[in-house]
Amino acid sequence: MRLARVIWAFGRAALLDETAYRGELLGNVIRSALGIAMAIGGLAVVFAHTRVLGGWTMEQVLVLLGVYYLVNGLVSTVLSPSLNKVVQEVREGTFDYMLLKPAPSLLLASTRRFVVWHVSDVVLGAAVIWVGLARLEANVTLAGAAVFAAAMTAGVAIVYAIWLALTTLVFWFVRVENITMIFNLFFETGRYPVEVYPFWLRQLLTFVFPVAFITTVPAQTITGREPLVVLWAAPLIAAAALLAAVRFWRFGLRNYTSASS
Amino acid sequence: MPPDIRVHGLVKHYVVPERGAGLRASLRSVWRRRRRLVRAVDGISFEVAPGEIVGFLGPNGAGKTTSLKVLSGLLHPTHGRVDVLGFTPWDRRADFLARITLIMGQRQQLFWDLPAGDSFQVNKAVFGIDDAVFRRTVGLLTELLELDGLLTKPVRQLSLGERMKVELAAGLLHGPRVLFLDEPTIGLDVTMQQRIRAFVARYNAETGATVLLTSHYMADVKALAQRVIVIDRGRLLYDGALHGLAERYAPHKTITVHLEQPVDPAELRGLGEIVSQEGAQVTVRTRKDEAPAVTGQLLARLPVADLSVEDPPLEEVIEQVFRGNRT
Amino acid sequence: MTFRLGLAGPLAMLRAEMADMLQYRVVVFLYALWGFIHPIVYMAVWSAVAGEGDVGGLRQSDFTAYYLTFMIVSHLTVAIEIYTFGPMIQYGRLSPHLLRPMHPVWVAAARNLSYKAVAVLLLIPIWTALFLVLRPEFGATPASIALFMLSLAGAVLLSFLAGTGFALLAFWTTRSGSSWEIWMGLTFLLGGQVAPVELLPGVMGQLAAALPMRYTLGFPIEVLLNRLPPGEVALGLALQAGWVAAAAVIVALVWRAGIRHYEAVGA
Repeated sequence: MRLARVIWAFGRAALLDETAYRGELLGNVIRSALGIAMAIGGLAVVFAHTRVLGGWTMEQVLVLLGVYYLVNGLVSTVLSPSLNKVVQEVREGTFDYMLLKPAPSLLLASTRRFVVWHVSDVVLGAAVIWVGLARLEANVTLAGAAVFAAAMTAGVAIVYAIWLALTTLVFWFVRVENITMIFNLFFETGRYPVEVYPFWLRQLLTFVFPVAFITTVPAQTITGREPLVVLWAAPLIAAAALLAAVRFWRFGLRNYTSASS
Repeated sequence: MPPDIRVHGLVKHYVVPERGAGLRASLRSVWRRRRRLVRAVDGISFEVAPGEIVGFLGPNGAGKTTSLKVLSGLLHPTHGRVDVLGFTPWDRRADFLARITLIMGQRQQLFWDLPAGDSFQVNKAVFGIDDAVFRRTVGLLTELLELDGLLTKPVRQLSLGERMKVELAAGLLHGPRVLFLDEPTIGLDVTMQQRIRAFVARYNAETGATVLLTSHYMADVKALAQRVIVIDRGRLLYDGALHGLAERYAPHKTITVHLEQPVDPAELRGLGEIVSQEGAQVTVRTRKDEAPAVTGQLLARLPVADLSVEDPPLEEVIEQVFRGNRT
Repeated sequence: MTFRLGLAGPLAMLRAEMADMLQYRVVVFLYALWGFIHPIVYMAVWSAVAGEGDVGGLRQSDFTAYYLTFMIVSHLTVAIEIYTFGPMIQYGRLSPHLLRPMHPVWVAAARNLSYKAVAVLLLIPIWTALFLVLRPEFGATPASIALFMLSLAGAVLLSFLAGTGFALLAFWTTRSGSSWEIWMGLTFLLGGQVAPVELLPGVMGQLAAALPMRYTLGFPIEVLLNRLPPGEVALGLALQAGWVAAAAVIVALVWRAGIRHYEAVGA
C-alpha cells in the first residue's frame, strides 16, 4: 500500500507538471485522433487497390492497428517517460537519488512518471479495435476475449522487456541518449501484419525482435485467424523475455553501483 | 565628447501569466489564465560617458537585466528613448552589433561540445574580423585572461570559471566599444572573481571601452566602478559617485581608535554605541552628524594613538537604500 | 535588422555545426535510420499487394525503385527545425544569436545541412547494400535525373522553410509540436509516403497535387522514375516554385512578428 501511495505521489507530480502546458489535453487528443485517422487513411489507400493484404482483410488489419495504438499508448503514457528519465538521470549522475529511495528501484524506475495525456492513444486504440470487430461482425465469446487478453498481456510484457533491456544498456553506454529509439524503430513495423514482410524480415520480427507477438498475434486471436502454435508460444516467450530483461537490469545496476562508488 | 549611452524615460512593462500552486490551480489554468502586469523598468534616465565604468545595482527583480537587454537591443521598450553610440539598440543594425557586447553569466553562446576556439572562428567570420586583428585580439585576451590551453578543450570540460573567461573572450573578439556585463562573476570562487575584475579594469584602461555592469557582489562594484546607478522596482534611486552613496544614505559612521593603553569601559560612556572593545582597540558607531563631535571628544578624553572614521560596508548602505525605498 | 552580406559567417557556422554534429554521430545515425523504416514497411506492403501482377501500372520492381529513392529524398528533405530552432527560441537561447550581425536563420540552416551531411555518410553503406540486394530498375534518363536534381533542390528548400515556419511558432506557444505533427501527418498521407501519389484514390490525389506536401517529398521521386508526362512535370515544378515563394514570404512575415513579440516579452 505504501508503494501504491508512492506511485500515486509520483503520478500526481507528473500530472501537475503536464497541466502547466495549456491546451496540451486537447492538443494531445486531437493529435492521437489525427494520427489514427492518418493511419486509417493509409489503410484505405492500400485497400483501395486490393481486398487482402498478406491474407488479412481491411477489418482485420484495422483491429491490428487498434492493438498497435493501444500498446503504443501504454508505452508513451508510462513506460517511455519513466525509463527515458532513468536514461537521463544516469547520464546526469542523479540516478543515485533514485537508488536511495526506500522502494524497489525497478518498479519505481518503470512507473514513476507518466504523461497522462497519452491515455488518449490507449482509449482510441481500444475504440479502433472495437470498430474493427464490429465491422467484421465477429462473434467474440468470453473465452475468445480471455485469449485475446492473455495475448495482449504477453505482448505488453514483451514490450516492457525490450524497453527495460534497452534502458539497461545505458549503464554501460552513457553517451547514447536515445537508445530506446531502437524500440520505436522496430515497433513501427507492427502497424502491419508480419505476413506482409519478406521472409528474412518476418523471421527477424518473430524470433529476434518479437514485434509479431506484440501486434500480429493478439490481433490474430480475436479476428478468428488460427495461429495455435504461436499462441502457445506467446506467454512462454513473454515470460522468458521478462525474466531475461529483469536479470539484465539487475546485472547492469550492480555494474553501475560498483563502478560509481 | 557626447555620451556613449543615453537613456531617457525608459519604461518596460510585461504581461506574465500567473499560476497558483497545487493541482486545482494548475487545472484551472488549463481553462483560464490569469495575467499580471509587471513594471520591470518604470521610467529611468541616465547617461554614461565614453570610457566610464558604471555599476548597475539593485536587488533581484529590480530591472537591471531588463535594462541591459533593452540597451543591447534584445528588448523593445514600452516607452522611452535609448541611444547607444548614436544607434537605437533594438534596430540591431550590424554596425551597432559590431560595437557592443552583452555578456550574461549563464548564457551560452559557445558550442558546448566543441573547443572554444571553434566558436571563436565562427565569431570571427560572423563579425568579419580580419586575420591580423583576430590574431592580435586573441593573443591579448589569452594573455589578460590566462586562456592558455583552454581554447582547445571542449567547452563542456571547462570549469565554471574557465567557461566564464572563455565566454568573456568570445564576447570581446570583435573589439566592442560598449560592454554590458550582467553578473559576470556569479557563481565563481573568490580568486576567479578577482581575476575577472582585474581583467575588466585592464580592458577598460587599455581600450577605453565603456562598461555598464551589474553584480551581486559589492566587491566587483567597489573594485571597478567610480559611479553607481541604483535601481529598485524599476525606478532609479541613486546615480552618482560610489562614495557619495554612503554619505547620502548611511545614517552613521564607524570610528575605530587605537589607544596607547587599554582603558576602563566606564570611560567610554557617552561616546555613542560601543561596537567592540578589545584591548587597546575600540570601535564606536555614531550618527553621522555627531561624528565630528564624537571624534573630538575621543581625542580629548582618551590617549589616542591612531584614529580612523569610516563609512559602514557598502552592502549595509545598499540595504539601507532599499529599505528606505520600501517603507 | 540589417546584416552584412557575404557567406563567410554562414560557412563558418556550417563548419562548426558539422564538427558539433559529428560528436553526436551515434544519435544522428539512430535518427536517420528511423527515416529508413517507413519506406521499408511500405515497400513490403505494396510488394505484397502487387504480388506477381501490378497495382495501377506499378510492379514490384517499381515500388522497390520508388521506395529506395524515397529513402534518399526523405533524408535530404527532413525538417528538424522543430527540434533545433524551436527549442532555441523557447528557452531564450536565441538572444546571443540576435546580437551577432548574421541572421539566426543561418544557424538553423547550418544545423539542418550538417545533420544531413553527417547522417548521409552513415546511410550510404546501408543504402548501397539494399540496392545490391534488391536490384531495382529505375528507368531514369539523363533528362529525368537533371529534372530530379532541380525538383529535389526545390523540395529541400520547401521542407526547410516549412520546418522553420512551424518552429517559429515557439515564439508564442510552448509546444509548437502539435501543429507540426498535423503537417507531418498530411505529408505521410498526401506527400507520397504511404503510396506514390498516383495511387491515391479520387479526391486525395487531387488534394495531393495541389497541396505543398508532395513537393517536399514525393514529387522528385516521381520525376526521377519517369512516372509523369512532361506537362505534369512542368506544372509540378511551377507549383513547387510557387509554394517555395509563398513559404518564404510566410516565414519572413512570421519571423518579423515573432521577433516583435520576443522583443516585447523578452526571454
